[in-house]
Amino acid sequence: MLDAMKYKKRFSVFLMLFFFLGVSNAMANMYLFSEVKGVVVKGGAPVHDAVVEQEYRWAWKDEVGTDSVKTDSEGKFNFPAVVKSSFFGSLLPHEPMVRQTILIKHDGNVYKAWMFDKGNYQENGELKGKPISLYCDLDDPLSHKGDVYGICQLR
Amino acid sequence: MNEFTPSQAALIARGVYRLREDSVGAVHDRGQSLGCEDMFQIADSSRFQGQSGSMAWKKLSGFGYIAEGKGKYQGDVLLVTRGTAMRVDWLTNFNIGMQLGPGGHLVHAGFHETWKSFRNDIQAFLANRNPTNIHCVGHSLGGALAALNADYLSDIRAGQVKLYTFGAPRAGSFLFARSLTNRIGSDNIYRVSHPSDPVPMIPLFPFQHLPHNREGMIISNQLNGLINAGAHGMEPSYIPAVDGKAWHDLLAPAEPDWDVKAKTWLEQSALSGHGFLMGSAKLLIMIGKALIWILKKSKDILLGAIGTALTVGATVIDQLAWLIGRAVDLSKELAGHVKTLINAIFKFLGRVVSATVSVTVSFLRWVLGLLFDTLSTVAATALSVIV
Repeated sequence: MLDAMKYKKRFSVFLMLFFFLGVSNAMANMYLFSEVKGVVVKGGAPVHDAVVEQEYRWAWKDEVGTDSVKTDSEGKFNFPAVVKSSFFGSLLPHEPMVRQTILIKHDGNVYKAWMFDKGNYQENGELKGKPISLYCDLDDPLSHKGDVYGICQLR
Repeated sequence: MNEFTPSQAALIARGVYRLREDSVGAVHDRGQSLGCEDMFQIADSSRFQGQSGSMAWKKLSGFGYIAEGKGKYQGDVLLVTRGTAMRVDWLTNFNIGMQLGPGGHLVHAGFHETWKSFRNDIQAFLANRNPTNIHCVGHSLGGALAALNADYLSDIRAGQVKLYTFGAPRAGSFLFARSLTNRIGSDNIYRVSHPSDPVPMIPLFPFQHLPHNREGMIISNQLNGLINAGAHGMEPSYIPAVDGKAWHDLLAPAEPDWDVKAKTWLEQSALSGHGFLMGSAKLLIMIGKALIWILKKSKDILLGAIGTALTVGATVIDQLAWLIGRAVDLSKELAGHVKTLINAIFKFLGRVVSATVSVTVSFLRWVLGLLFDTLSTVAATALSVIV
């Protein structure tokens, strides 16, 4: 009986929190890595069959995710958005922190294409709402494009 | 004076999150910044680890760094601590007992436990150093840890301490806040909060914000006035809000006499019975002020009958309920104000209070417990699910 009352109270507290800490936010989609489109070139020509690796590290759940694709005959590659949800992650205030990495592997070399720490859960929040479209010339040096670091240019 | 601008402090408070799992070198290899590279000498040895969590769920991770100044900041030291980024960090926030802190006053037990886990790193760094200024910076839980750093460093007189916090919860008791404010000076405390950020609202009484003698800095409320977890983030909320601002731009306007305002609010609310808005940040502020005013009145009424000074491990809610309940028995006027306050708390929580309810100590304990539990978020219920 006592336990039942305790859980009833906790459940009511839980429900109230749900409402006033942002019912609209709770269970909302959390974009850990927005969709990425890109093309890889070298010497002005598309690079076919380059391996493009994507990794994210999500601090909240201490979670790591990876994906890997090969460029097509036009040098193009694509990663779908990585979207998660976390009830308590939506509810409990915390600093969003998603460490994003994209590497390109070609002819025995590894190129840093995209190094970025995402501080929000918004779709295309990496580039303040602009979709991620990369032009990666393997001959280009590493440079900063805002807070993004890598060889790729943002289109 | 070597003080940071609001933007510099905000970027430093955000940058330290990058050290949760990475070394300083790894962060730089990724082309990312801690926000202080042009002012302080940062190396892998600058980073220290700390332990967050509670009981069986503890985790060791990067919690901050300490570094020596260069250029304009030659002779200064920067000490930065990160806030809540992981689920387990919330267990630290939920551990709401009290312990004697670095300066000998009561502080939040969870924050203190985490602080103790990296205290030796600070001591080791400061050995044989005699800094001019020590800048303590942090966001969220990191802001509370920065306050404990400031308490420790000012207690050992390591240098002039400057404290910069964003969205920080209350770290200690009134005596802690007063003592620390007196030691480092209120002009060296830059506490920034967002009106809709729930974290600076917890924990409630007897925890007290810094500085103890004035309001902190506040950024404009671009939200709809409702408490919103989204207002807590550095990147989405605090960094853009302080961009280009000077500290004096952020100073909260001079507040009226809160005792008068709280009493007037209670009286007008009782007369009008007006609708309080559920979850309203403004309503919560008035509830807090009115609660303090009622406690002061209760103490006046019960003068000489109070032997319940707060002690380590004390159940604060029991003491508050007893104090108010006894005073209500002796004062009809206060009983009316307490009923109005209870009505406001119920409306804030989205509940309906019965008109015939009797204000007993046990009822008060239940209401205050409900409010405190709610503001301390889901606590044990959440833990059983998320860990």
